[in-house]
Amino acid sequence: MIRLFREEGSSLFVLAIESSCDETAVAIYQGELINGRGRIVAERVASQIATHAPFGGVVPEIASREHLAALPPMVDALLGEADLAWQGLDAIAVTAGPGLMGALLVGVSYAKAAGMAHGIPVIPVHHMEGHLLAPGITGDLPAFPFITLLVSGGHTMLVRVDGIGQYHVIGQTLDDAAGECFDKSARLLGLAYPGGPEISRLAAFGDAARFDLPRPMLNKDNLNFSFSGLKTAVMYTVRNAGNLTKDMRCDLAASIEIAVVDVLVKKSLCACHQENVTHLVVAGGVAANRHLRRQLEGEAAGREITVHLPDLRYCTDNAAMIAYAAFQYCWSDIHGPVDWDANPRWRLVDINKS
Amino acid sequence: MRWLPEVPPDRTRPVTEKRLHSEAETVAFAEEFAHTLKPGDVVAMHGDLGAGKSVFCRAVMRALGVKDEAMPSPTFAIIQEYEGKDCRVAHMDWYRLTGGDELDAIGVRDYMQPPWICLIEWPGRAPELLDASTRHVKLACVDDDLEVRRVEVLTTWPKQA
Repeated sequence: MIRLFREEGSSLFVLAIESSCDETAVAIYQGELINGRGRIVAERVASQIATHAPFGGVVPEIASREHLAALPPMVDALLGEADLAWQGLDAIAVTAGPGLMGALLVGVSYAKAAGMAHGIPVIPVHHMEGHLLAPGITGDLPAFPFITLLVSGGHTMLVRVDGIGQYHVIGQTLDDAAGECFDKSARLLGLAYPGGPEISRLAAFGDAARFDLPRPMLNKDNLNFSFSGLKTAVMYTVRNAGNLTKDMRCDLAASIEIAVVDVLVKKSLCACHQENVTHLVVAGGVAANRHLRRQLEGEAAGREITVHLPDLRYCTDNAAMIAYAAFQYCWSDIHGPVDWDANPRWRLVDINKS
Repeated sequence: MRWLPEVPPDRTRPVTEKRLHSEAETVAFAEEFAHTLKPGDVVAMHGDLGAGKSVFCRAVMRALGVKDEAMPSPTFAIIQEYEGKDCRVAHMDWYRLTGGDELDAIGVRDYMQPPWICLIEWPGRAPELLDASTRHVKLACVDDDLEVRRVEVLTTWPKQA
């Protein structure tokens, strides 16, 4: 248990480890106990995207082997950079799920072993919870309740956040995630992995009006998404075109991007309206999409909704968000589970049950 | 003397072969196919991106009694688990893997026996994990009509997976 002295100048140092998928990331966050704010002292990310590129995706066991090799030297270097010894740490936070079992276990085993060896409490953090709270890392978290659009290669969901640890999924994808739609469309267009950023890059040169792609679920009276049909429409367009010219690729990329963004923006604003909430957070890898950021900010302004976007580097998987979430638990005096383990299928609604 | 067929049956030939004219026909065919499945069965799904493997799998799962409205793609998670009627269903996508070692490590064999019915997209990543009892379903687009799919049900690996 961590004892808190809520006075001027006293702070907690949290080391975080995130290894649920592509990246091995570590970070140290210094949180002030007087006001619940803080700063990232040091952080490191070892991306495995280059290793995975030949396979066109993340390869789980390769991922865990890479995590295993990367982790200890990264933590040593991080502590050196922060000028801290293990004894200077107050807590170790680790992503305990959801994710790929092999990859999660590397982080969790390392965190538990280090915690035991050095007598430091270990706090399990839900990967998505890290994303939900990411705007707080470098700025102020919006007042509760707020809505978060969590949008990445593996997830597309709208979550109502009523407090630390209080999350309600109010909309989700029924099939493909938005980021997956970008990745699979990129495969159909013959683009390199990861496909999302590549679509975005080409879209900047393209005419979005050239291809009229469907906006799935836009007229449905709920907050769910479906992107599988959009991918099929892209395939039909590619087959109809025969040989794709460079111009057509750019135009199609722009049309794909605008179709996905349209749906994400409309549904997010609809969620705010339905829940009577005025703050919207956008997180996850797709939150780095410039077109999405621009359009959201433009449309929200007229509706008196404030959009909160984490720093670009904290949109994708990172350890800073895990450290920050763990600090928020400590600071709010909310205690996590005592008996826990890596859980590849940990659901957001089950965060406070175990 | 026991009766023997003059020509042994050609196991590489499709058991069923059909032209499906719309997504609705694909769904109807998948439902019919689902009724031939029992716990312990493994179905390997073949076909390119967009050929309709996921549409087929979702229809099979609905027919098996899965009630979830959201059936998220397994591409990222590798395995999605569901509760069916008198069975459990594992919907897998092996696209992001490179071989049987990796799949073994994530416990894939557990899903290949009762109470599970196992639907696998991109099975070609680890053919050695599938035995001779595996059912193979191949979906393909046709040249003359975008909406139409050709489906084949086989008892061996399709020639061009």
